[in-house]
Amino acid sequence: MASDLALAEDASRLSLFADLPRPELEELLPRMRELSFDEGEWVVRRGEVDVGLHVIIDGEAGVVLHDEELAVLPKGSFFGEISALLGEETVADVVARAPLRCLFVPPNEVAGFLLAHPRVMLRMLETEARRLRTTDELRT
Amino acid sequence: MDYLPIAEHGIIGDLHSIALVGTDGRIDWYCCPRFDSPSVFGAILDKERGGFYRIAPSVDDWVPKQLYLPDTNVLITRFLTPEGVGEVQDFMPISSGASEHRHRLIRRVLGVRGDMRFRVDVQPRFDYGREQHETIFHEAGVLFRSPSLSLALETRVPLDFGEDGAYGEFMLRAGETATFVLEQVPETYVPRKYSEAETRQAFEETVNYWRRWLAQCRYQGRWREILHRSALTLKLMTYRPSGAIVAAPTASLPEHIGGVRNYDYRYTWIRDAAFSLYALLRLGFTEEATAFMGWLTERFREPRPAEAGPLQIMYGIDGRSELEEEILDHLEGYRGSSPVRIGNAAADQLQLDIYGELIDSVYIYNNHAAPIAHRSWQDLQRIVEWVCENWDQADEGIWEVRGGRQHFTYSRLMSWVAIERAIRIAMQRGLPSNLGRWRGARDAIYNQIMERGWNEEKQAFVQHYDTDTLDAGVLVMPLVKFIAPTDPQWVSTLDAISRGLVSDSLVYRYDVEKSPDGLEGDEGTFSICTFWYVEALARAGRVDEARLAFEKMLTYANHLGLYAEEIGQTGEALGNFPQAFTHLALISAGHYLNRALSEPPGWDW
Repeated sequence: MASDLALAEDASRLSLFADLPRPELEELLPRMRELSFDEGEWVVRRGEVDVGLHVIIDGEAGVVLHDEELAVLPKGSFFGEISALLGEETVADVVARAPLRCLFVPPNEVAGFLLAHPRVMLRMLETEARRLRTTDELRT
Repeated sequence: MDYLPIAEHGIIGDLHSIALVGTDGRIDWYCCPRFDSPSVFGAILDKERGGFYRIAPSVDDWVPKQLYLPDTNVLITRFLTPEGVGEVQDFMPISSGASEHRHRLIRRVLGVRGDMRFRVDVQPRFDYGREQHETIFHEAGVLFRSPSLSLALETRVPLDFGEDGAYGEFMLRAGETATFVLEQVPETYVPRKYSEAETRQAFEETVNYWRRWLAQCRYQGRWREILHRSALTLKLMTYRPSGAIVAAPTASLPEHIGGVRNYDYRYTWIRDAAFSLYALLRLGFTEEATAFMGWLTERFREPRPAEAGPLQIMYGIDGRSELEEEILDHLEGYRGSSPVRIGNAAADQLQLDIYGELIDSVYIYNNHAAPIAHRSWQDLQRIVEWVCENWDQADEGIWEVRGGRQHFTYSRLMSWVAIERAIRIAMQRGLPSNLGRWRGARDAIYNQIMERGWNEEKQAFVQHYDTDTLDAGVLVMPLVKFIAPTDPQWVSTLDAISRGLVSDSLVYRYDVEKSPDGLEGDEGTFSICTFWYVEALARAGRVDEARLAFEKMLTYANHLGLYAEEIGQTGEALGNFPQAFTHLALISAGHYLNRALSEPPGWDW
């Protein structure tokens, strides 16, 4: 369980939680677990299904497919949500590029978590939209 | 981190605002989205509270170099260490055509040789440091969100929480790049990743914009690159949406370290703008003059009380006339030079000279750019009639003294110019005018200056009618063709100024001790006066002296060719920076001196 004050302060600076009033943020954080990974540790392996939502609070992660790093996810990024929402396998590996600290929502709680916090859902949707547009721009 | 000397800065801009970039890689002045908006990075006015944006090597020991990409306002700050060389290319893209302008400041970091580890530190302080903000970390950068303004910092470099900001470290090898795009965005904006191709394109478009602009310049004489730099700098001070020109893009940089003469110059003074146009027109740039004339025409047509004159001495860049002065007492000022003032209380002053500078630039515009239109001539006639009616009164004068109104010689002189140039336009074009009355007023002013502006004891024209104080403002007498440069009365005035106000070729605007201006403290020499002096010497046929003084003056520019308003005892730049007044006078003096050196002496009345 993640609920101390410093964590709330840090989380309030992450895009997913930036619009939440402080009381809502403090109520939300205990529903998330805090996970830590060492540098080089696999966070997600391609093909896993029970991944859950990870929000990077410290450090950075690399998205890797076939030994190629596709993207770097810095502080404020999140991953694992698509697999959780669709109930499907993950399509890439995620590795800790530096000591990594994430806030975590288990896969079966992700939908309920988002419905309980629509501002977080909107923020997530905006980020997904940005990812989609960036992909489109790269294609054209 | 301590204050950098004022001269240790370059300037970038997008014709809406500018940023000062220090040789230490620190942006310590940036107002967004306009010149006169509150600062977001203002560390130059308070190193602790002002906010900054720095990209520099993460090691301590490096040697900086700074230059402009030739013929552009793209600034390159280089860092040299034994292990490697890296550089930051700073620029602000200028939107083309009708597309809505995006307020972007792009910093492109390049590894040049070896390896270099950089540290980026972004600490915005909105509203001159009065407004709190949130820092929100996104996948593709950081959003700084304050109640009045949001800025996105978009980058692929991972950033970390900093104290009210963000920081990061990254390593570049030779040939590698990292880009940081700071952009004004809506408060719910999600930062996006810029591709290298995109920033490369923005870079090339910006370079092309400046090169195409400069290609209009017709000047081919001596000191060409120096005059070009002055022109590029003046252009950076134009506000494209309205055509207005700021006197300088900074506020409250002191005229004396620790002193109180700290003013906000981010406004359009009629005088400074008219002189700027004059300089740009001389070099062949007409577009700016046309835009400014449009802005000015709107000011003419605004109702004003008759006794205040047809124009205020200064306006906001959007044409607003209310410019309330405010003291920011939470900022310590540059090197402790307080108070920090924003806004400008001089706006209410009566300065009768502005009509002279204005109509002189209309005259030049009429000759070199486009003949004056019927309605503009009607406006101008109205102004000339007002000057004929009102020239004979005390005012605050060109230096905006706050020590009470006087009958300043310079103000009278420029009232003469106003009427004299209007007569010339009317005669040349055969336009309707009240010529009899105008000539009467012109000659009355002339006679009055000769009688009352002349001080028999000093054998010189002096600051105002009730003093024997010298004033460098009268150096323009031969420049505006009021007096022949070889007239004995002028020659002895020039000699008196050389003795009384000139120190090692640098010129003080007046003797501060003898001319109480309502404020405490010393000041440096005034660069515009030095350039006027150069031109006055050249016109008087003292070309060798003029050339040496000009060359000496060039040594006081900073490493990029930029000048502030004043120069201190040990050559340091003082006052707002860079200053239009200085650069336009450099163009004018260089232009004339080049002619004097190339052509046999003659008169060009």
